[in-house]
Amino acid sequence: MSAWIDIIVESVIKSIVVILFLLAGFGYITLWERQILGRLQTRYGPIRVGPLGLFQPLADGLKLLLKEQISPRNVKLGIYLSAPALSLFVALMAFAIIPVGPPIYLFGKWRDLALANVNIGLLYLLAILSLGVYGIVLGAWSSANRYSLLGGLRSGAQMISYELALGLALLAVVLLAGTLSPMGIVEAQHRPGMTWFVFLQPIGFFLLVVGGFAETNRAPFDLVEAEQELIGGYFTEYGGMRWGLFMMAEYMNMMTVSALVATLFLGGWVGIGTGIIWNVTTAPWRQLIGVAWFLLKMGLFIFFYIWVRATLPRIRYDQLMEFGWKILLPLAVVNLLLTALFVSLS
Amino acid sequence: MIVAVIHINVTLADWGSVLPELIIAGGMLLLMLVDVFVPGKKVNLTTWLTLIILALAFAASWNLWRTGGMASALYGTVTSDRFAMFFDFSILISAALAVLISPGYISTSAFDSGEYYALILGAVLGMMLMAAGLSLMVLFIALELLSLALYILSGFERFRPRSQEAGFKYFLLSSFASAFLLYGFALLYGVTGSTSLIKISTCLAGHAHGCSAAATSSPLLYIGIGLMLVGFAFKVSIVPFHMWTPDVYEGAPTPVTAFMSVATKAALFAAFIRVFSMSLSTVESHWYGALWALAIATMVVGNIAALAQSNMKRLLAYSGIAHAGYILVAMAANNALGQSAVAFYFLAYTFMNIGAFVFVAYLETTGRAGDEIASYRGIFYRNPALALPMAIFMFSLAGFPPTAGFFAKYVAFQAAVQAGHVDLVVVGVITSLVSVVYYLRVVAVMFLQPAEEAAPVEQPVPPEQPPAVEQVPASAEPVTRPQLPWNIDVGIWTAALGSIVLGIIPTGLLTYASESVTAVRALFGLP
Amino acid sequence: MLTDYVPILILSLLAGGFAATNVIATLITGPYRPTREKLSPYESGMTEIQPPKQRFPVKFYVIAMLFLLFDIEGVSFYPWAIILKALRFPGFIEMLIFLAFLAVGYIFIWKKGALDW
Repeated sequence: MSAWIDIIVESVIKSIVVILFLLAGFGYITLWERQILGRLQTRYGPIRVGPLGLFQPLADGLKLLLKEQISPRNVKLGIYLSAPALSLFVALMAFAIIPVGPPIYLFGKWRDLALANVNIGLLYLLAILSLGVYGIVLGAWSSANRYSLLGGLRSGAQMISYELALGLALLAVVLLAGTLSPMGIVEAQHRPGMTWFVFLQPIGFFLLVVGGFAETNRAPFDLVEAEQELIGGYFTEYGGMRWGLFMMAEYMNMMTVSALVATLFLGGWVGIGTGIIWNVTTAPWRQLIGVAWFLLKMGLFIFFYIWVRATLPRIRYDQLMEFGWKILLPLAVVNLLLTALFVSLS
Repeated sequence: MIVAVIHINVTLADWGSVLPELIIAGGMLLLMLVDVFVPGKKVNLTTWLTLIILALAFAASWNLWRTGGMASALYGTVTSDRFAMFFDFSILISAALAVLISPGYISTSAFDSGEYYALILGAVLGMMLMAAGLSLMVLFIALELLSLALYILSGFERFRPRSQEAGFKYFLLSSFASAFLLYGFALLYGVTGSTSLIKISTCLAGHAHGCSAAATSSPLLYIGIGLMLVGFAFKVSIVPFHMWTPDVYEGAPTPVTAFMSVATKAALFAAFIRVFSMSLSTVESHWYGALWALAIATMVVGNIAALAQSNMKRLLAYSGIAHAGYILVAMAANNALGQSAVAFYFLAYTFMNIGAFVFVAYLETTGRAGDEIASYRGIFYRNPALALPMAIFMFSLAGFPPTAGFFAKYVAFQAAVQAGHVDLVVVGVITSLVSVVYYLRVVAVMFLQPAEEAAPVEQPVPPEQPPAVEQVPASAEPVTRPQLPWNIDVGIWTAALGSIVLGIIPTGLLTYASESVTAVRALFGLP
Repeated sequence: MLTDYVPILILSLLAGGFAATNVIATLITGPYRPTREKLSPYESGMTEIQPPKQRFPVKFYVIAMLFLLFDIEGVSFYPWAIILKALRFPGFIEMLIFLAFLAVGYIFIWKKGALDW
């Protein structure tokens, strides 16, 4: 009985931490993004609300909540309202299996620094990520608006197309690690004879990066919400916090993908070097150092996201689809085959 | 991490026992590639390729027949015993005959030949696996494979509304039936704890370790059997699950109809027998009553409904339903003779039924009305090479003595008598007599004097008319005698020859059929 | 073990509650002064002539079907990937056969133009 209480209390605490982490992450990534974009365009971003603009996200959130919310005439209200919630829900769920640090001994028990350490973690993640398309397509369809519908369809087609390559890219990692558990994959990268999978799997890394950008509808694959031609695509008819929820979902997905890249390809919470501070098995405070390393890697990748947005132009839709189906998919299969050959012979 | 090595325990002999299936699968891929890489029209190339692939598969099956095959291969999921091979022969022959009459169809109907033949081979692959499956999983996957291919083939002439209707109707209803079958399989698996047909039979016989004795009386078993029965009955068009059959047969392209009317039933009945008569043999009392009622309903409704048909394809559809009823009688006998009767029946049915469809297909592709029976008036004088074999098919389907149809029916009824089911046989004989009326009406129309130009085509023909062969004056000179295309010629005469030869010397094949049944019964521990 | 999934269940409750609260909050907070024009669908300033017909190019259907096919095939790789080390080289060959089927289908749809946008 007490074991159950322990599990439930631990889960509730972890869940709240995950939700708060993602929320705070969302707020400060938007700020960060605007500041970096500003710098890259030789101007300042938002720096006036609070020191260094740090209160900007709070002001934004308040503004979104206090805006007038209208639901246009022909919308299917139930679906229209639940679509942003669904998007957000899926984005919150996805992070559940990411381990942010090594296990920690607390209150008489070794506890994972992941919300759930399930042995099919990667499969779970793929399943949840592919649910993300529902929020977008349902929102687009229920809006009864041409731009929305077109944006939603494009987004649906794009996300499912890139999911194929993404799935096969992750498969190559699974082959090398021999497990679907993210925890196990991090450990597998530090077994003798192994190294970070970014070096063993450069093609897989590339595929995950491209697929991750497409899955999160980020530049240069953001033409589903192309404001110049589609007025924002699927969220054309959404305003205020309802629109904010879609944005939240997008940024949380960015965080999940970045965390995934850090976990699967960049060695997770394990740092560079072999000194005493980095020794993951015995060093004191190693959990803290692990989390720091993890956040550093994740942050670097989020910076990369923003950098790409400032640099690359948006690609055309036909190019997008053909790139996904005719280049990425065969590439992923070839990568998978080579990896499988290597694994089966070793 | 310590990695245990898992040995894949599949030998070359395992692959050898599915060689016919592998040939078909490879051929299917080859045809798809030919379709996209060879430019231009390539009906001849693809037709020949398909025929060669089918011939190779036939040779491989023959070789397996000769050597006896493997009782269970690939981890006990498939078999290559003679029972499966016997049905493979039916399936391959009917596929080859259907392919033979397809080119004329493709050239008039403007569809893509490569895809078409690849789908035919896909359906053949599913059917062969269906006949060879020893596991519920394999059976279901095979069923889906053949069904999906047939859905598309039924609707292949996508610019003809009738064909669209056929494809769509078949898809909606049949996928529903697949679900029934799958639920039945699931419950059977739940009760017995195994998907292997052999293990299921040992479990129900009470021999298996860890299988509770209550399994045979479990309500889940009853429900499962009921659901499977519905699924199978639908797929082989047994009354009252036959509603789709006439519409689909009428709308689908004729070669496809020919193919599916025989081969699908052959494959499904092979699986039907394996699951019910072999695996569930020990609980015969659970399903015999239902089978009995289905058999009677099918024979009665099929034959009576056929009386009212004026369209040849619809008539053949109802005749197919009626024949499913006769086959059900043989199956209900649930003895070795009955099962070999089913195997023999399908070989006979292949020839006579597809022959009739070859006839229809030729008339359709030449633009001569085609499938309305009234338009066959006087066809004997225009084209005796077409009408004579057709008469043979009709006699054979009706079950007249020197033909294959007679012996098939005879053995089926004999098996039922042997098992003591005289009631079924009485109904069977009476309905067979009824069927003579509509089969011979077709013959009579063909041998009537050609209608005058102005004469109404739909002149009613008295159905009681005796076989009209004798009525034809020998001096009646044909007006024109167009040469048949070689493929129709070959197709129709092969079928006619088959229908006659199986009727004259059936004993050899009957022996083969009973040998095949003995082998498979031994596998399931039946006498 | 099933207890591994308890955290996910709890997270789903909390996350669902959070998302729902946000949506409900949008119904309460903020002013609400609708006018006829405000509630019309956004058409870049044009008057809406008719609501969009809910029909769209068949290409999207094709893509969706192909996705289903390839995604299912992709998922069927996962169990194999985990035990490939134990299966050794024969396991690789077996999957190669499976992949050959997939490859022919892929070449077929490519050549038929299903992937051209």
